[in-house]
Amino acid sequence: MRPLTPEIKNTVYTTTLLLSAAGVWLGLAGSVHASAADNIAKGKALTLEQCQACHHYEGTEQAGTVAPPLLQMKTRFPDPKKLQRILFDPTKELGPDTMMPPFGRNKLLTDAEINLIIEYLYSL
Amino acid sequence: MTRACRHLHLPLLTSLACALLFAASAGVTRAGPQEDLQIYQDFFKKRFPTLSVEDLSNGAYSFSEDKKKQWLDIMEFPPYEVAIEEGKTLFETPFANGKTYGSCLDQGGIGIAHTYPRFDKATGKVVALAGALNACRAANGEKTLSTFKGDLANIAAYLTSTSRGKPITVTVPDDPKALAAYEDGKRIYFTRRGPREFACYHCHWVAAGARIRGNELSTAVGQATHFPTYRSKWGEMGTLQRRYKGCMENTGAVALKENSDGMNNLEYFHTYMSNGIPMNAPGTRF
Ligand code: HEC
Ligand code: HEC
Repeated sequence: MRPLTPEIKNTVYTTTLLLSAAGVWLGLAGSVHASAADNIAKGKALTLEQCQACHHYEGTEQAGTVAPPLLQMKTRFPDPKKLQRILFDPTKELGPDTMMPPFGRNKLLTDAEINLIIEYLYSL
Repeated sequence: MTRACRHLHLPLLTSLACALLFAASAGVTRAGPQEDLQIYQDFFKKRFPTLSVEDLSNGAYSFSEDKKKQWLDIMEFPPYEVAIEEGKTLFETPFANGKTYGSCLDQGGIGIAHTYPRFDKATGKVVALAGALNACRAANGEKTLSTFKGDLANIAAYLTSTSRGKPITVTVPDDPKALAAYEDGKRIYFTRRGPREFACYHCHWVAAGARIRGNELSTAVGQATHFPTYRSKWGEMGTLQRRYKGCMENTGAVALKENSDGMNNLEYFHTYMSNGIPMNAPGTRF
């Protein structure tokens, strides 16, 4: 009797730099004077790009079913820092073998974008 | 005992599993490919108790009635039939030196596709079917071709058609190099790659049967049985390694090179997981 699978390993890759440059640019645009409604709309757009492939939630168009639905986020995650940590590096917060990508650690999303997403999640 | 377990670097181990593992390692049985196979196939049987192993060889279509129907419609006139014909002609056409592909393969190449990839004792490396055909070309003074598509994929379509229905029989002989190749393929399968850090395992194992965007995910066990495959998206035949490349690139990772040791070892491990399941190739996918 052995564990089902061997240890999940990691490899080095080279694509993050490019992505982060684009991400910083996107994240800065508009985070200064934006209203709450604007932020929520921006956060939603980001989740449709980055999250709905796996998660279902209100307003998804072609949601995947590999991850739990995102609902009642304010009640379930009252501390936004917890969500920040999940989005930054889920291998630390959800488990070492999680399928969810490390959006912050690999600069797929900037801090500003992660905050917009959290604002949107709290509207769910 | 804890120290024994820590030494194995297996973070997923529960203490119970660890105890059992420790007991097993102290006893006679040694963990190896055969034991893996049992564990892996049992996992999918338990996860999808209503699906037969043949269903698993129909890939994602076993998880969507709608797509299955569309697929069965296409299969009334399977688009790979042309490739089988072309492949047969190519296979039987002698090289400039008068020899044929058949001269390089057991049984003249007929009814052996379900035993590939094979470990080659002489080189100490794994050869996939398209790679074996290419090696045959090289040995006979012909220029090598793509192992992803084109002539070699068509020939592979013909050769697998002569193995259709035979259970996949990939063997890992008792040779340290064969075992190392198998283990390397396994390592690649469970390695995260690209900025999203996905391993093959994430999509085709833990998430199998579920949907990522609009795509149902096929199971790791069974996938290798229906390659090469005619894919509408390609408009032609492609080999397993061509599909691996697609999955690596779709997730933003850098793909391994065709017919490289890594690709061949991955195909070795991945096909081994389908051992015992009838060959269902060539296949059709859209
Ligand atoms: C490739 C799949 C994938 C993507 C993309 C993904 N997630 Fe996840 N996520 C998961 C999985 C799977 C879980 C469940 C925990 C686990 O299995 O590791 C999860 C868990 C979570 C959780 C914890 C949920 C709970 O109820 O405990 C939150 C919050 C979350 N994801 C938010 C997001 C957000 C926001 C995005 C996009 C920015 C996102 N996820 C993108 C796969 C994904
Ligand atoms: C982020 C998700 C994801 C990852 C990671 C992934 N794949 Fe896939 N794969 C897919 C999707 C989606 C399909 C198309 C639907 C299907 O057939 O499962 C697919 C299809 C396939 C197929 C064709 C199955 C068929 O029936 O035609 C093979 C073979 C395959 N993947 C192997 C791999 C291997 C090997 C790896 C790792 C190197 C890998 N995949 C990584 C999502 C993924």
